[in-house]
Amino acid sequence: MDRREELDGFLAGVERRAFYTARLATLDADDALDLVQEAMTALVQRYAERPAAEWAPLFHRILQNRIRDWSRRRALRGRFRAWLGFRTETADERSVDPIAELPDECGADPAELAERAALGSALESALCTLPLRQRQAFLLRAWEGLDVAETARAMRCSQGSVKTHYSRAVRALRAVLGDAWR
Amino acid sequence: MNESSHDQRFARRAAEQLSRNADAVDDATRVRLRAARRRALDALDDRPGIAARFGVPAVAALAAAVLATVLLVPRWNEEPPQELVAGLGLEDLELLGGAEDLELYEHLEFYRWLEASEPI
Repeated sequence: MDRREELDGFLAGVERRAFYTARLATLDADDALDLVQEAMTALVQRYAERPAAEWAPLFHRILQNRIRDWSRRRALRGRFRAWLGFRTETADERSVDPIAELPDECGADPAELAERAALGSALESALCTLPLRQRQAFLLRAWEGLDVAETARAMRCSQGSVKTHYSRAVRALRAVLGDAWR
Repeated sequence: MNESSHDQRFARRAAEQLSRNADAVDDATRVRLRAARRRALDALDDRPGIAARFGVPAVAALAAAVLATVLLVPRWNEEPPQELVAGLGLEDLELLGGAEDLELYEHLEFYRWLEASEPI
């Protein structure tokens, strides 16, 4: 089997899960596809020559980096737009709905909330309420089966942080999902 | 059953559910994923040489510098708000220089006009 076939097999095996992970973070199929495309291309361009056994952790790391950058870029763009005067919010407007002040890594505008509802499952909705880092830790540890060290490398943080994010994620998800999931 | 084994059981069930959800993507998405994979594999044949590897970051850095100049010169004497600069690092400036952001600021005048326009 040549390298192209090997890579094709690897990418075919991870693409749906990668798309699902990106979709949970972006709540937008097009953005999610873009992130998966970028991650696939980066893996092929930079790491095709590496042993196939290294591709999975490398791909997870690239994808998680892209998702993190996407989230930061989105937040930063919002701050600059506000500063440049595209959208100004008075103190009165802010005080109308205190819930709007709560952090929401998935975004809080009505269109996204509607889209989130369309995602369907209670688990998906619960995952969307988690901060990005907790969601990453949970998906990588519980779903992708990475150990603490591999998860720490993929998330570019310490193993202690992974343990903290993971346990908080599990606690939050169990609290949200209730008895049916215990 | 203690708390830890409850957590492990929960994680297993969640993982099974996530796998089912991920496998249930619609046909259109499967086709788009396959196309994305093919495009990525095409990059195997035309991986960038040294010039391209160093050339792209250089162009990106230049674009970021131009963008920063365009945005900041009109506000040279203004003190930036604390909530804007808090925690802002070089990495954030790099993110701002991303292609879609350049596109946003290329349409700066349009957005300003839109903002100033009366709602119908």
